[in-house]
Amino acid sequence: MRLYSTLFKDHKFIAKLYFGTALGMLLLGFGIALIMRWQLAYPGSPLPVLGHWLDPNHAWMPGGVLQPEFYNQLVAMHGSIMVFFAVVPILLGGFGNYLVPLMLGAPNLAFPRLAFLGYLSYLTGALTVLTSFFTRGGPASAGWTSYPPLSVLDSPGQSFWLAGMLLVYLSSLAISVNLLVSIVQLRAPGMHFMRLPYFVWSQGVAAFLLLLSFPSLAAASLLQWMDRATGSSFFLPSGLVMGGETVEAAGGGSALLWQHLFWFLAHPEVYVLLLPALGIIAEIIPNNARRPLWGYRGMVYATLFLGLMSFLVWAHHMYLTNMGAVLSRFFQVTTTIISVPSIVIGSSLVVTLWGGAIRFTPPMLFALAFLPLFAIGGLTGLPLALPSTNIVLHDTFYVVGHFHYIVVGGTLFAVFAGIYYWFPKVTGKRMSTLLAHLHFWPSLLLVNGIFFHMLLQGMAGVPRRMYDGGITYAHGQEMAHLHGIVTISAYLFALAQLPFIINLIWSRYRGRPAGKNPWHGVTLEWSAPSPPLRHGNFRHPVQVHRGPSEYSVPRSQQDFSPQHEGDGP
Amino acid sequence: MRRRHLPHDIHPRRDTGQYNARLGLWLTLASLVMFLAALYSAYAMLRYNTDNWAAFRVTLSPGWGLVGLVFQCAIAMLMPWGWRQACDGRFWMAWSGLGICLLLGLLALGNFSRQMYGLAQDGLAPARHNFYALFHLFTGVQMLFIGIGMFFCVVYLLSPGNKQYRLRNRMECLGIYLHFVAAAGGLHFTLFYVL
Repeated sequence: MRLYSTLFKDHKFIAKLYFGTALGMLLLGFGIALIMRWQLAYPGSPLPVLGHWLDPNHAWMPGGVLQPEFYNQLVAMHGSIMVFFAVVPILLGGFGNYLVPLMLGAPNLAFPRLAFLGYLSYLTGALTVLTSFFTRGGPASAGWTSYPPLSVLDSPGQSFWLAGMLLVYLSSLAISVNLLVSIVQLRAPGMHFMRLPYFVWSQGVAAFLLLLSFPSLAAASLLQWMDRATGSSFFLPSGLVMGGETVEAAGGGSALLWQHLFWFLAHPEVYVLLLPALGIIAEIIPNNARRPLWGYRGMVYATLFLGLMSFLVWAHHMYLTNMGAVLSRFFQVTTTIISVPSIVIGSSLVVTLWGGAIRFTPPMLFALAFLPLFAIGGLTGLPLALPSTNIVLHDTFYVVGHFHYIVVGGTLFAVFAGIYYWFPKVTGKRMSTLLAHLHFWPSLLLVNGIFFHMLLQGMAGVPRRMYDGGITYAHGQEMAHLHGIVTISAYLFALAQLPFIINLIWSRYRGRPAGKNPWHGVTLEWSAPSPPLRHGNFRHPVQVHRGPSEYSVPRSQQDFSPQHEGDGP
Repeated sequence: MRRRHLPHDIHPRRDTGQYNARLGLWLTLASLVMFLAALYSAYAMLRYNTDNWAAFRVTLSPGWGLVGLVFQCAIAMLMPWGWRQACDGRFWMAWSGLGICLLLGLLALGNFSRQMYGLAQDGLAPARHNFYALFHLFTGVQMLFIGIGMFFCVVYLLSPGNKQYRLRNRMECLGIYLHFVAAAGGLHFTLFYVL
């Protein structure tokens, strides 16, 4: 009972649970990607190390050689794990649950018990999907998008995937309601909306997107579950033939219905992955440039506009479905428009650096690397907004490269930046700068080694869904050697994460004491003890007197003016 | 800084006019509205793509559907009355309101079960046609919504610390939720018995 009242109702503990679980899922998803990459680079060759341990009669990987069916399952699991169980939970469940109440000057989240229930729902969903590895037929194999009719006729693992999605919906509902109510209701006196740190805005808009977009996938999952469990035909058209045999179903359904419902979630989900990352970067850059965030209001309005527009672009993922010129044109225009607020936000971050006294701390290195990587990811998305170029590039590695530049080069680098930045606040200890450099420089090099070559392959037309990496195609053969570079870069990228893991564990126990405000930050979390108090976070009630990024204020005695400090008598 | 309650847990915040639970509930309802909107758009797309949709009918009397709807509306209308009683300090009256709601909710669930069972008895299972699949799905979802409401009725009835402010806020939130459920029930009835 005491454990319940002290830990499970504490937003910081719940956030750490999210962090731990989601980082575990991140490693798992990355491990799956490494197995896939080996197959793409060296088709039919046994996996190194692991291959020697596997039985020659192993169902999925006899003698360590990946089978086509299992490759498809790994593709589906990699995407699902990374998007639903790793990155979003880290950003909102981890960073959001931990930092938003602190930045608001609040003692806790608005509904701490709901936050814990949300975590349990997330954990159950993740375990449900992972359990499908042990079912007959293995996990879902229809990709992370689960397109029907393939998914409807898939192995029982697909039902586990659907159950997992419904549970993740409940979890995201808990997270988003909690964050939004906390932001609106629990702001400290003086913290009006235009004094909220940009991080809080980004979390709020991301929570709002999650709140309104995830129900679409929940409904679609329910419909698909009906198709699988009761024999209905929501997604099965009449006269469907699979493997030369007519599928026995009433028919009358539409496979495109799933795509609409899925992408109505999945495109806003991209901004759920991106906005909190921008929020992290927008805290770190002003702090390390010792300059106020340039164009704060513009960034806030751009974020709100971006959130709104993200509901109006989903069908640009469906240009190949013959949706017609009028609809294509509409989604082309909306997709092009949505790049405007992204550029406003990115430009504001760059301009913030102008004239600053930049400190190249580990979080700042990751934040600086984020800017070009995010820019490459964003700009390579523009050709995909236009139907004429999208049709050529859609099924190629170009899309994989573009998306991963956003999610790995952008979001994951922001996650690393955030961890280096707030680790002293969470643990009271500093992280090792040497290990951080050993982590950063190889990662920066190798992330480009992985994804830039995918862009090149994609522009040459190498298809992205082939088990053998597309070597059966003539144009694929010309670019096949790049698979090797990508794969070696991916394995080295995995090695480059070791200093980070060592740093995380070593610094937790042996790190130097950090003090209350090691970075000389101005937002409210830096006025709390490190780590913050278990009950109520702050020693004294907090009053806010100024904006969220007041660095180098003229006539100020120091180069930072914390939000909780007034101008004095 | 130990606090017994979080800020605005009980009393509304001055600038927003909301206490936490009510705002949280409105946000949850927004999400549920999107959930229903996704289901309704599936209904619209499937109906648009089917030539002979009008040939399919629920073989039950519309009266049964109407009875279910009346139950849900009665539950929704009872809650503001219970909330008023709680505000005036007549807790036993408020609790009795919760009890009646629970009873009516169980009757509504029984009525929906009867509709689904009746349809299945006539061989009109989800596999027969998407119309019946949608009927079963929407009815199931409606039953889930009512079941959630009834769950909270039971929790509030059994809750030992039911002080005035708690009961007042709880009944208000449950009332808002049950109004949403009744509105969804109205749409459900219209889709399958009227249109």
